[in-house]
Amino acid sequence: MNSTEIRELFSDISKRASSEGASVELEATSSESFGVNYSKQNLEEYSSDLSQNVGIRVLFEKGAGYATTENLSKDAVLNCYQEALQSAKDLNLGADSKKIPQKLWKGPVPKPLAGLLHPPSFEREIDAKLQDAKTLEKSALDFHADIASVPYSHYGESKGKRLLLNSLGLDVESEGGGISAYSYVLAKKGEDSKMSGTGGFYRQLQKFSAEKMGKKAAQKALELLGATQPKTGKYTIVLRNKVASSIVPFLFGHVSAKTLDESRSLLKGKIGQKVLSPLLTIEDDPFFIEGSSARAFDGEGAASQKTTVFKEGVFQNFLTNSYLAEKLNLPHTAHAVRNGGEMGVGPSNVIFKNGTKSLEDLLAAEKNVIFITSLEAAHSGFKTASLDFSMPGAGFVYENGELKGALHQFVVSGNLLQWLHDVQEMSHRQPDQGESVVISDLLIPDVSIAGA
Amino acid sequence: MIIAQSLIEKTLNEALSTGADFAEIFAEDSYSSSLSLIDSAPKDALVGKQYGAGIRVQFGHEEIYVTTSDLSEAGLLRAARTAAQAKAGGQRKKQADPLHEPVTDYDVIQEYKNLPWDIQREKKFQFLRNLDRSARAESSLVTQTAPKLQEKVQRIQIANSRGLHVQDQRTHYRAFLEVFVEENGNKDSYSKNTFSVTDGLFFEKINSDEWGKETVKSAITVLRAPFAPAGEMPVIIDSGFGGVIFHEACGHGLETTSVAKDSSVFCGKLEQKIANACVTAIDDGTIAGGWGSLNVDDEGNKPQKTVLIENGILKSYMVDELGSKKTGYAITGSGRRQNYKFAPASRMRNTFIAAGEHTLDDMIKDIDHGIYAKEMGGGSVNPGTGDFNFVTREAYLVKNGKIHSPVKGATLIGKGIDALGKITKVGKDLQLAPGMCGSVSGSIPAAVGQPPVLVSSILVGGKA
Repeated sequence: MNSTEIRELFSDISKRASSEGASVELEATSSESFGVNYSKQNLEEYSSDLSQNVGIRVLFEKGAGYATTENLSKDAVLNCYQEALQSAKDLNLGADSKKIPQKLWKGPVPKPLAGLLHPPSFEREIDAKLQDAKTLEKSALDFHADIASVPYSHYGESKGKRLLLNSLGLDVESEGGGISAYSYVLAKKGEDSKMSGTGGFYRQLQKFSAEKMGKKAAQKALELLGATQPKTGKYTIVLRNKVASSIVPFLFGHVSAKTLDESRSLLKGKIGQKVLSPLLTIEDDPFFIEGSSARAFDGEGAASQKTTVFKEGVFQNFLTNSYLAEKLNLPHTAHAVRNGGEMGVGPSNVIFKNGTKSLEDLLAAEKNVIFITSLEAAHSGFKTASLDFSMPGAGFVYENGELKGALHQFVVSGNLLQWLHDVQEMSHRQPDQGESVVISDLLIPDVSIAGA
Repeated sequence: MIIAQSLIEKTLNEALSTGADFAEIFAEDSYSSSLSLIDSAPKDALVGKQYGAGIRVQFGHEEIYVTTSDLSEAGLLRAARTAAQAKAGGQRKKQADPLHEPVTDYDVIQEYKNLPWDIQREKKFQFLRNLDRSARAESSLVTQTAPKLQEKVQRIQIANSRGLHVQDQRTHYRAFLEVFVEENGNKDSYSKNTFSVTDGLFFEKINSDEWGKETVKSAITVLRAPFAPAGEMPVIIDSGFGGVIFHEACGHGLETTSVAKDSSVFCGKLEQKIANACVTAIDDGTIAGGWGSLNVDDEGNKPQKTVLIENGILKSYMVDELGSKKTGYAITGSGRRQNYKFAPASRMRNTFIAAGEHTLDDMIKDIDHGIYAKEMGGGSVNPGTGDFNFVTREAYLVKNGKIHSPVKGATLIGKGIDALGKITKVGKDLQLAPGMCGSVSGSIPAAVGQPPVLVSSILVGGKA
């Protein structure tokens, strides 16, 4: 079904909703993706996907119902609408009398955001793409005799379109895409084996080098060979920029007005208070094109806007959608996201203001410093309610700024809010590829590490 | 039937047109629903339909996988052509074998009754309200509850160029209760869940009063607990979800997905001693009503009961079609995938350590200073190095042979092969628990299980 057919069908659905006393919103997405892996220079997996999906939100008095379908036949989409309508009616029956009803978004038309799709990056011959995937593995395998294999190596492309319509006349469309790649390498020396790697997202092909990525992954795995366990104790650490970016999203769960509304936010009542280190200024920036979460409009069609979330450590704003902004009397920041259909709240690109020091300065900040280069299993090691965590890590020990050896098999424990409050220094070294969280290396004192 | 037999044959032949020696279609038409409460009132009611097909072709050991949500003739043939042309220039080697009449009748590993759309939604919301009420009545420290009910009905159709043609329907139901507690500015949460793979009305058999009470009790225990001590110490891992240690530490390394790539520490160790003699471990896809059981796996093969380790000796890997082709080991009916978006891979089903002869009390009495992990959380493993980690959700310090006090933040880390050698006692009381396992072919229902086991030494990552 193309955009014109979807618009025609939506017009029909909108009339049906109106006759039921309901209003309706429809999001249609379509995407094409391609991915390839090589193992021992043999093609291991080649995948290609053509997807389409329709998500419908129906508002009926105080009830909101959601349904999605991948079957875009007319009957299936109408059935999807009926499911959403029924859910909205069911939820209206059970709604609290004081509940504020949701409303569809009506506002200024969002300006298009150029650069989300770079067509030349996708127009290469398939052989050139396969060659990149091969190079990604080969450059790692050839890097050193101690590289045993590359268990996970992948080159992928995806691009897609999104159309959002509602009964109040909203009609907005966007497209985007990018290249993603990763390489995780196994290094072995005798009985010692270590795996490490790297990956990234790129809007433009020219910023990606398969050879560089493969070599970097191999280098990282090799560096960990011969690692020892640190002694259990409290240490000053430097948290590598990419590791920091993997745990920051847990903080943003508490910046969501939805979490606040559900009485679960640790930031409740803290607007205007110094919550983090004064070194930390954090913006949500949907216009940062290199970031994988750049967008022209949010999940309900509101024009994107930049939002300062923390300024020099002081909490400034919860992120909101239009409903929660009204309900909680907060500024509307246009951060509606659809979580499996349901309208929630989520960040776009989270950008930390850069620090002033070099990584070397941070590593030499104390006599003994542990440089944490990986933290594993955040999905299970983090308690989202309290932001307490306990995660296995790997890294390096530095003495007076000099590398003394690799470390492994230790567990780092703490609380994320406390860590970000305790940050003593920040480097000016941000990751060199697109991320949805852009952050520099952090120097944090008094961190609990369990080892030998 | 999701796709007509004649169209399947046409599609398979298109997929074989450039010389592939195997082609397969996995079609899916699934319904899922999620209902939840927040602030004691219905929060949302979501319904989703997943609809599409994955076309897989193999050229020797090379595999191409193309997916589409357009199941029209044009859409399927386009996807089949894309798959075939990934190896352009080759000549057709074969036509697809004529398809058998679809198999739909199995040895009744799973039976179904009370499908989601046949049950009034109000009944489901009432169950969630009961959970909410019982939790809030238990303690004034409860600040929020999040009861949730998830339902999934997956209809599948699998056909391949060897003439295999099967259809099946699978149902998975799960109920969750998460409670949030707060005391003196400290916040925490705890959740429990239960499941059924057969009956959409399973929730009517749940004692919601008891469930609410138990969840709140555990949440308050965790809220008030200090961080665990750090360092190497003996750990008792209790039954049920404690089996996640075996799942993470060893199970993933026994899948041909990693064995065939020579990236598992268990490669080449068949018939070798890899664990203490007290350890027998099984992956069984045939347990009636089991969370990870299947009538037929996602490649159309019959699931089996696979003894992985017998009295400490490695006996078998878990083997899918491609894994079998690459390694030569016999297929064990372990090919699984989350949905049509994923190519299948060898994965676990219901994986557990078999019952031994000890009691939990025997084990506690053995410990001077250690940890009793009553409830485990999730974890992960690096199959290449065998390094694993998993978190405890509810744990207690054991001192001088007695359970002493609750602790939080006890993450257990180590190497799978070392941990297997350090299991010194296996208990009598085997229990299985449901989980979702994430790996190369997506997130799938997989049960883990064990009786209580004593690991003589393991690194506990508490606070220094």
